[in-house]
This record gives sequence, structure tokens and C-alpha cells, in this order.
Amino acid sequence: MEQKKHSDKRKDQIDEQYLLDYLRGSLSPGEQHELELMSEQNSLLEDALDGLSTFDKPEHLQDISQQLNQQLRNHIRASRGHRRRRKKNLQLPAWIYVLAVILLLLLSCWVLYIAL
Amino acid sequence: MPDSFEHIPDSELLERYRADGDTSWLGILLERYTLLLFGVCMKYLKHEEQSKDAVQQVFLKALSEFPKYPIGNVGGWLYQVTRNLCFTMLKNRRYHEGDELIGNVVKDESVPLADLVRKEKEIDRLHEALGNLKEDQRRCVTAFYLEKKSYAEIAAITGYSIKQVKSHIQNGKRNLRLKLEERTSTGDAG
Repeated sequence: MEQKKHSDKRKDQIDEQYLLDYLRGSLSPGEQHELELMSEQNSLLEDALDGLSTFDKPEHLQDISQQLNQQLRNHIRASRGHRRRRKKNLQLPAWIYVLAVILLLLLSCWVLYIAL
Repeated sequence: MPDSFEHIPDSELLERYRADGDTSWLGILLERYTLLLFGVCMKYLKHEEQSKDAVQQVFLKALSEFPKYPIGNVGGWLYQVTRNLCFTMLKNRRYHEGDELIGNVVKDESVPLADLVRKEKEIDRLHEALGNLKEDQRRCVTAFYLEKKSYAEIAAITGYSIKQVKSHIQNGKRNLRLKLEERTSTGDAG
């Protein structure tokens, strides 16, 4: 049942867990062949399998993947915080906008007065 | 990666990012490729720490480039960037065995054999071309493409290692492609 679930996902994308299952040798021969055939037509998958096959323990790969993902999340979180701070620094106090509107109104009145 | 996002295609994650500017969507997208990109780096760099660094660099490049340009095929884009980066790192490393490693980076971009085989209507010609391959290549190509065996199964049947099986399939399909193309062009000329 679990493997059927992986097969369904794989139609849309190359699932990480499915790859790990392949490397562990826990897929059925048919599923292994399907992934290998897919790799024949997908250079990214082909190269990735070549590189990942050099590891004896797929669990280690899972650790590496989690570590890289955590670094990515940290970077995204930090850059979002930085952007939010910059945005906050760019925000002006409300009274500036009120003053600007009053000045514009006064300027319009003065232009009208001169014109008439 | 949370399960709830797994059904969303790459293109839609990019659209969501463009709609609200939330980089978390890019994060979800990139995490799909972490292990694949690490595998590609390991293939070329053959060094765990350098491969991790390379993947991080690819992620940073993606985060800066995705907002600027429309990306049609995310996997293809990431793959090209990763290979180019590995190529640069190999050159910088002044690897003495570089010729062989860099040679690996240049890939055969011609029509995939599976397509060619699918289009090949005359099965007799295919079998004839198969018969002209070396014995080890013929056995592996036949078992993989026609009998739909996995690498491990072929290794068990033939007694070759998985690495040898892959090598025989690679060489066999290249030779088979040449023979089929040769026959097709001869047929066209005739």
C-alpha cells in the first residue's frame, strides 16, 4: 500500500522517499526497473542516482538532505526578517501623510485664488 | 516537506510566489530537489562537504534568479546550474584527473534511446541490430529494455556487478542507436 502511494506521487515528481527506498533496495523489481527506465530519459535523475549510489547507508543521505533543507529554511527566514525590517524602516509616520495632504490642499487653494 | 504541499506542481508554487512574494513557496519548491542535486554534485565532485556547499550555492542562485525570470522547467534549470557549478569547481580544484571527470559533464543530448526504440516500427531491424552488439551489451540491453528487468535483477542473472550492468547498457544503447540511425539513413537513401 505504501509503495502504491509512492508510485502515485512519482508521476508528478521524483519523490525523495521513493529515491531512498530505491537506494535501500526496498522497491519491487518492477518499480526499480521503472525508476531506472525513467533515469534513462531524465539526466537529472540519472546523474543523481549515480552520485547517491556511492553511499552505503541511505540513512546518512536522509540526514544530509535534512541538514541542507534546514540551512535553506534558515536562510529564507533570515532574508524574510531582513526584508520586513527594511520595509518597516521605510514606513513614515502617519502625521507626515496628513501634513502632505494639508499642504496640497493649501497649494490648490492658492493656485485657484491666483487664477481667479 | 509538509505533505499538504506535495500535490502542488512546481509551476504552481512559482505562481504562488509571484502572486504574494512569499519566499516560503520557493523553499518548498527547492526542497523537492535537495537530494537529487546533492546526488548530481556527488557524481561530479566526489566529495561530500563540497557537494553540500555546491547545493547551497545552487539554492542561493535559485532564490535570486527565480524572482527575475520565468522558469519553465525547474528541474532542468536546477540541473544545468548544478552541472555548470560542478564544472567550475572542478576546474578551480585543478583536478589532475579532471579530463575524465569534466568529460563526464558533457552528456549525450541526442534523442533518448527509449524514444527511438518506441518509434522503431520494424522489430526485425531492431533485433538484427541487437544481434550485432557485443554479447555482454546485448544481454544487458535486451534484459533492461525488452524484458524490463532492473539493474539488480540483471546483475543477479548475468553475474556482472551493477556498475558493469549500467556500463554495458550505456555502451550498448549508444552502439544500438548508431546502428539504428545508420540503418535508417541507409534505408532513407535507398
